[in-house]
Amino acid sequence: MDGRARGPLHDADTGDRIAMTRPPLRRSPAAASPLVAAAIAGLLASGCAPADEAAPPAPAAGAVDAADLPPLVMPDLSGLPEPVRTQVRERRDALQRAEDTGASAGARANAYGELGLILMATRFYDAAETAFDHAQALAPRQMRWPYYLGQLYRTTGDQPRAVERFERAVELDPTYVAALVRLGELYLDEGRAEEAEPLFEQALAVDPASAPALSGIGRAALSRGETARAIEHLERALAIGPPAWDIHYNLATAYREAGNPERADEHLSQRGGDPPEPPDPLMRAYERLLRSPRAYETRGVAAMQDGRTAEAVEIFREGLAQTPDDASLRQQLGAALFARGDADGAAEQLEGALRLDPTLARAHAGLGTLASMGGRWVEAIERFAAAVEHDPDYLEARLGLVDAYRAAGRPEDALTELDRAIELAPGYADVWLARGLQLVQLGRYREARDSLDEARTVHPRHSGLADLLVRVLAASPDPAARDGRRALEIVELLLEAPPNPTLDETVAMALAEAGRYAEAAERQRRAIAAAEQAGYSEMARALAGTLARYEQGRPSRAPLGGPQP
Amino acid sequence: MIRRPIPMHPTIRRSAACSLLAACLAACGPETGVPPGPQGESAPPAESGVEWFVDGAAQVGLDFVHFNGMTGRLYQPEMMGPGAGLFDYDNDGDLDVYLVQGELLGAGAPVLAPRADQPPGDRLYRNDLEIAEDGARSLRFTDVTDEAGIAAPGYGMGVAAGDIDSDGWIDLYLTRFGRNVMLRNRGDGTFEDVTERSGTGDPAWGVPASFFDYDRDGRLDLFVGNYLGYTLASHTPCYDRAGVPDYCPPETSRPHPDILYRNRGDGTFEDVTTTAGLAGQFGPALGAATADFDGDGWIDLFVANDQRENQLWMNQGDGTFVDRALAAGAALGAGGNAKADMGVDAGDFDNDGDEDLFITELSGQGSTLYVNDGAGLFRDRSAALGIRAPSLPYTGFGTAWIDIDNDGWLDIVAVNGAVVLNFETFGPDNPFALDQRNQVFRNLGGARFEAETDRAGAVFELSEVSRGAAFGDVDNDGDTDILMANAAGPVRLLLNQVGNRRHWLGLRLLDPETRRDAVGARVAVVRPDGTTLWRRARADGSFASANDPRVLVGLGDSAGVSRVRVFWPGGEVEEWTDVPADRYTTLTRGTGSP
Repeated sequence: MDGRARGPLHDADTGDRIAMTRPPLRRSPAAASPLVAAAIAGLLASGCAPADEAAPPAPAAGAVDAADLPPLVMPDLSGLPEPVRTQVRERRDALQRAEDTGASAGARANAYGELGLILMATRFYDAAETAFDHAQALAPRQMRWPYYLGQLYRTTGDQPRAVERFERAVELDPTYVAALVRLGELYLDEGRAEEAEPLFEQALAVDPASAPALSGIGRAALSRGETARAIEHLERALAIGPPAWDIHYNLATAYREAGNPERADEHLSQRGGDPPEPPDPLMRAYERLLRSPRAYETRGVAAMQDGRTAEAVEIFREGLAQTPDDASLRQQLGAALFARGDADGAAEQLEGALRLDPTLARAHAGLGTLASMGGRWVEAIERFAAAVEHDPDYLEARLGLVDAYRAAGRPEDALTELDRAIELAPGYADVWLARGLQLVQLGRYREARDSLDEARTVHPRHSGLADLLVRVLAASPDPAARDGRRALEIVELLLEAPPNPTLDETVAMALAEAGRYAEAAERQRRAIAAAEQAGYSEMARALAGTLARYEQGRPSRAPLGGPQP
Repeated sequence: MIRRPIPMHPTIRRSAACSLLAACLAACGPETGVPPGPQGESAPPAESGVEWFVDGAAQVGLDFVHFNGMTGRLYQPEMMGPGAGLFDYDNDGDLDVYLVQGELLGAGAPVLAPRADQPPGDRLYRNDLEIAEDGARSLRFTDVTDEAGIAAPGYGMGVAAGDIDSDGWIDLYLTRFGRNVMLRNRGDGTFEDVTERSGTGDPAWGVPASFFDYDRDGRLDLFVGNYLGYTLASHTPCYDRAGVPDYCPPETSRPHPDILYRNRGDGTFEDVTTTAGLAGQFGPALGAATADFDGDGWIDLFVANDQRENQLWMNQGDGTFVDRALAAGAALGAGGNAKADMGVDAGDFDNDGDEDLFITELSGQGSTLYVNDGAGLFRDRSAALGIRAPSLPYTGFGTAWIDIDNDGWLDIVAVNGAVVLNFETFGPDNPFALDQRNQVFRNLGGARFEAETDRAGAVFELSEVSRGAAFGDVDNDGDTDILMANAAGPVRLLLNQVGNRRHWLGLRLLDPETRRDAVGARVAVVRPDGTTLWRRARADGSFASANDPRVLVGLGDSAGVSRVRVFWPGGEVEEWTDVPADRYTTLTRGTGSP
């Protein structure tokens, strides 16, 4: 089928794929576009007039007339799930109507652009590119089409074209901070720090509180070897924005190059935090475009991870309104409701997910968690067991099963599950910690000590493992497991941590085992006070029981606290 | 654009008209009885019109086609292999070829059927290179898998080569999606499976492996990088945002701990991962390179991880390692983001005497060049050196620092293939739509790289799913060739057509006590003008592949070498002053001047 013979829009929806003809490559200029520089200079001089009020920009160098562009050939949509396929068809039909009715150039540009967006979202990049090309040819003063095209090229890694399109977007709207920042980043990718910096400066002029702009200036300075300037701007970015890891990392690099390894290490220890992003309503609209269950799931999970649980619930509900039979989406809604504290709502959704897909391990595990919280241990065991049956590598479910077995008075079963968990994830300290705890609860203190020793050779800095080992060495009822001297040695490592009642209790155990009862009692009192202050009254009472032993000159023989044997 | 001023070559050794490889091999050899070398001044390949590389696999008998065993469920292992190996298993002075094979994954019919006339399993091809008196080369490979007793069960990933028992014969370690395999070379053309006896049959999903002597006891120890704790039973489908099925990213499974084995010297290995300090930090390992990164004389280990922080294990000289990747600037990309690191190689691209790192990565992330400051601190200079932007469209795997044109500056080859399906080409006719072009970056004097893929030859116009790549001088003509392993595709042997137009120095570094190549040894080639070229003997690096352990040093247009200094892995330093150019020379430890 030759789609080109039928007008501007051709459909291979149900037929063979038709190869696209790429428009001529328009290479990025070696230096920043003079138009970009002029636009920025003019804007800086005029006090950042918004794009609508700015003088109309000149046409982009090499701009293509719509008539010269190849026709848009629709890709084969048969691999797309409903309702995404419907979404694409709706936009295709809208474009066809605009063409058929002789709509204005602006209306046709919008129709092309909207179709381009959905094609980009479904990863039909060649077709999306052609659609955007048409859109910008029909509406050459609309900033969003070159901007989206720049984003498309950024996604496909076509750096020269991405630069060219972002340059055009900046020409058209030098106040759109996200375009300025993206173009600056692309220049940095090309090693063009000198050209990147004015773009970040411009972004800062538009938004003086823009952490991405400050960070960009810092990165540009860093790549030029100007470490002092880099540090200044990166520190400012850190001060006004959220504690972003990428800024810490770049600061660490700058401090290291400035000969200050201590400050570098400080920043390297500040893990976590996503990079600051400029406000970008255009991309936000794009990210909300798809109505597929997976698109809703992706957005909802992202919201959950950011702590926006209410928004996550909304997103999942919206997705389920479109596709009520999607088990995974329903399970995610259950998880989001659980995070909001709505246990009943969560259970309803998780049960609903299992009716749709009885093998959905995450839903079984979610119900297991709810049962555990309600103290319904038999049910919890059933749920978690079903989860690991359907997904044998599901570590978190296996650990849930461990807890349920333990609570249900089946410690040997818990230990068996822990051994399986260690087989699955031998490098994970928390699994070893759980195993140590289980052995202590079983009264197998020497095995607990040996297991914790083994774990600490792998994870020497894990405070939980060290803490439990100190307790075993200091307070085991089994004298063969105790070693007061080693307990005191290890406890020294724990003292670097911020004080907390659990740590104080551990230190007290070690001191008492060494016969330093007065110090132990003092530590224990501190633990009691901290527990009371935190509202842990039950813990405070248990601690008080052990305090009495110390005051009587007797060590603890309850490694996990609580009543003495 | 910077161009190196290189005079034109008066006589074209291998004519551009020599388009058929067989004809080239027969007709384009040197006219003297020594390995081919430059005659007068040479043309830079970019201007000469000669293809830098020509694929000769099919013509020389390498007819292997990889079978990835996909059944349509999009299991991750089907798109992660295979590797390839170049090593001299029969000690006849030329590099033999090892090719890693897959098998059917799970139940069902394969989407891409295996080649009907090809036996299952990995294949070993013997190099039957013949060099006539006039220097003409006849390159031919013979499949000797069966007579060599190669039997490696399971789904293959990669291969590492090293002489584990110091008997002078190269042994093999095969990483698998499943239990790894150790094959001992008996020295009579056959191998025996010593996996059980050696204690190296790790059952996890291994990908990279490196033989190196970390404790300087003269025996090759073994690092095995594990990828994910993934099983077919635990496979869950993944989808893109539109809801279309695709391969899962690494984040969907837990990374599996790596392993360090110490060679006890009695045919067995001891798992020292924990005691050596490596057990606590690990990621989904896809690449490994061993080198002395801080110049303290002890071989360190860099592990490239997929979408997690890398590890830079600095050898403490007491049997333990400390991970310095984060503090040293080699854990993450310039923006502080963990990147999908695949293949890696260490080499001194700027000729300043230390080992720099090149890492291939995911499309959209761009490959990374970490520049070493000499003390083991690195800076990501990918953007400034011209690497980042041209690599953005590609997902790279096998890679190496090689001096393609022997001009004295290490260039980069990266073989590529996506890890997410291209829906615009995906369909019944192309169910494995991950193909991409491979890339060449030419080193412009250590100050900048230029992507010169379009000039590297017709084979670089192919779009395939390339994974492993092994690098070595297959035809012993003084330049580096490339054995390229494609997933669900044919193997390629890229024969270098331009390197030996310039002068070169070929070195085999031999330890008489261990009777094996001294991998890890560093070589300083001091030129008459006082400049020094630093290279090292290595068989690891790239992606899941084993490289030629010989050292090939491009000398440019002058054959002058004042002296060659070798820094042996055991700490000794020796010097030779009479090493001839344009041929291979074996430097045996103990025969040089202190």
